[in-house]
Amino acid sequence: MQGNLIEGASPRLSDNQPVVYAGKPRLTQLLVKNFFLTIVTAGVYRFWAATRVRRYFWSNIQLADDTFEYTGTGNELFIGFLIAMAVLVPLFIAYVIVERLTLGNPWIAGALQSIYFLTLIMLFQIAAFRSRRYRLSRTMWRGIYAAQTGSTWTYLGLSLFYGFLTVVTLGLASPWASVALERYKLNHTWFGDHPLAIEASGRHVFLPWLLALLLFALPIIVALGANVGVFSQIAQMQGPPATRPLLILPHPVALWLLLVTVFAGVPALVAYQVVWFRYLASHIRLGTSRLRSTASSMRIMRITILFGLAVIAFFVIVMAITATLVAAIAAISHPVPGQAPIPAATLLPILGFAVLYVVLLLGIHLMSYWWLRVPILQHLATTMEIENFSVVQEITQSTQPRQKYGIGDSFELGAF
Amino acid sequence: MMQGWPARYHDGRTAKSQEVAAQLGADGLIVTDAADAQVVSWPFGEIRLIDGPNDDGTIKLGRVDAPGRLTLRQADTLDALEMHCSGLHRSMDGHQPWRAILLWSGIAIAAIAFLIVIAIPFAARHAAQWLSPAREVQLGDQVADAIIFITVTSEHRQHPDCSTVQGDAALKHLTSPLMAQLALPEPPRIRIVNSAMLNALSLPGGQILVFKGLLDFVESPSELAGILAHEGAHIELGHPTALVIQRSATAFLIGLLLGDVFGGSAVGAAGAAILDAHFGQDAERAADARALILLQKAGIDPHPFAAFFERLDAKGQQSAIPLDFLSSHPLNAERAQHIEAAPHQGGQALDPQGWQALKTICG
Repeated sequence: MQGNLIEGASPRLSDNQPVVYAGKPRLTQLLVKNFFLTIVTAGVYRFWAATRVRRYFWSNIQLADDTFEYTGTGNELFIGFLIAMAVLVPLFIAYVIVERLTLGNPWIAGALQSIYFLTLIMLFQIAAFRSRRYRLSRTMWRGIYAAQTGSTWTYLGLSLFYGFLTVVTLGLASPWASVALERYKLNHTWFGDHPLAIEASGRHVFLPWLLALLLFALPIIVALGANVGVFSQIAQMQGPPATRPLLILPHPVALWLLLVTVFAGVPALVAYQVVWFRYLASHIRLGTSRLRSTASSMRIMRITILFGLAVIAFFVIVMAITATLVAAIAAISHPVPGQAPIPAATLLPILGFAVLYVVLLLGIHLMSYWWLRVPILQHLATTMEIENFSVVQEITQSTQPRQKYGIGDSFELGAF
Repeated sequence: MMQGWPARYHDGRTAKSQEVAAQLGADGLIVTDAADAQVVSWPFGEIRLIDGPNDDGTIKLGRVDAPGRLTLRQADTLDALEMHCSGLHRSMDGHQPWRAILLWSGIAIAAIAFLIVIAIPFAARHAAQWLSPAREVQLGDQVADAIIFITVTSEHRQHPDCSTVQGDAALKHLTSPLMAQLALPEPPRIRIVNSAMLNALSLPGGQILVFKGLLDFVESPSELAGILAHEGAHIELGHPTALVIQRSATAFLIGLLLGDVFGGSAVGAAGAAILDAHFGQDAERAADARALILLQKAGIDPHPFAAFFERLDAKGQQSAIPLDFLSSHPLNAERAQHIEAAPHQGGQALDPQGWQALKTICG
């Protein structure tokens, strides 16, 4: 039996194994179906929709002839959502009641708001950690499950500490924070019985971050400073009518600075994220094999910019159609000036805007997949390679129990 | 030599790939290795299609509740498997998700309907009692600013309120006998707003907005008195505060249920605006009844108020702004009848001189 096992099954299997993006068909069909089913089920279908989309993307990532597999179900996400609601709704109701009862005291109100938002931030971090745990526990390759261990509370403590550090350093510590949190998650990630390991520090990505921060935030800060006068004018708008200024114009330099933020700051932020990803991915080890990423910042920046332009073009087209429709509807509903409108025609505007809203949402949704998510995923995947691949032959299934429901995962927290 | 379809088998215990052959047996798919030794046999009923067929015809199979995987590389295998494996296209965990989805969609829609139609209006009526007077005034100012921003043209937006010395005096003279009767800590503040809209509305915190369009439309001071009595009654009955609380609660609820996947909060706000565009028929009847009493006690003839509804009906005026007390009633004729049935008593609410001053308050 043992002798018949073919080591390194296929002749193509060298010791460096690239990741392949399969690009399977029928994604648009899946997205459109999900969109309408989510609407007609009052949102209930979205858990099954997310499951189908994940199954599609997992099965598109291919490594050594074998695709990944997502084994989660919509039922698990839905039950997770119900459990999360059981926490969130009482929390919200308690907040509203206490807020109403303590009216008139700005100190209590302020303290209450701080506590409420701090609680929400902590819940968000818990959800982020647990949703990753759930997704990994439902990720399979060659019949072997991935997993995440580690303590949610340790992670929460880390995220609060680094969040605080980032705030007091005015964002300068952000690379250390994001690398430390990712490092914790990666060092507690398993594939079968093999743990991933990473040694990384934020200082290796500090310079691109500094550049992005300067290009993005500095113009905004300077623009705000230049417009101090404008803010006092806006404050006067709340005063008695006689003292209200007639027209408020921002300082002219603000516009130029805003252009710097949009056309230099945003691409610099995107570039930083790619550098960050490439740095971390290239330092992940699994036993003696390691990952290597050659993702290109330029490529991702180009995808992002083209997507932005496409969205703007789409908006312009839809708005033009809307303007035409509004004119047409106005003509239909008031055929003779002074006469009562045709009763059925009063429904037209509502119907028209409902259709328009759906078109706009579906359009943006589809475009975000066609021209943003898929190209970025494809690029990040295909620029990845595993060195010393034969180590995976030693991996065996883990015997640890698997998580039951996707509680934190029932909210869209970005990523797939 | 291996018999059957060429395949790759992963046993679910290790990440090793094993080159195998798969063939249809009597009651299962039999997987054999290079030496024709049986590796595993999967009963037909437990085989599920995991992935594929892909462009090159490969399919990935799994077995219910087991991590083992079999990847078949030959294009025509799916048809043969479909004939034997009854559950091939079912999900791995054996669940039928459609029943759960339908059931929970029904529950969700019923729960949303219950909350919007019954629970939130009920809670809003009582929640209104918790608000401090200062907070209510603040809320009313916010709503008033928003309405003025939408309805007043930019030339008047800096000074939306109409006011002259004689006009203010006449308005006070007209309204004091009515508003003094209301069981409120302070009589409502009445603002004449320089907008062409044919409308009047009441806001939280005891604020009544009368638009210039309505002031132009009314033909006698008693008509205006009737309208203001009606709005004052709304405030006394707590309708505006309840409505504003109800709207924000509904928007929050719909946003929460739809999640943010498809911009749920925007849908929520739009939905709430459409659903809650008026106080409701019962609230309007209650305000009409209270207005009649206010008019009678102030010695004002209620019949011009009825005439106002008849003329409004004749005009068929429909206003597009929500919170519009005039557009919420298809039953203007019915309301006119109710008011007609009241005893004919009382006189005009204002002398001609004062009425002239009030009509020209916006210049």
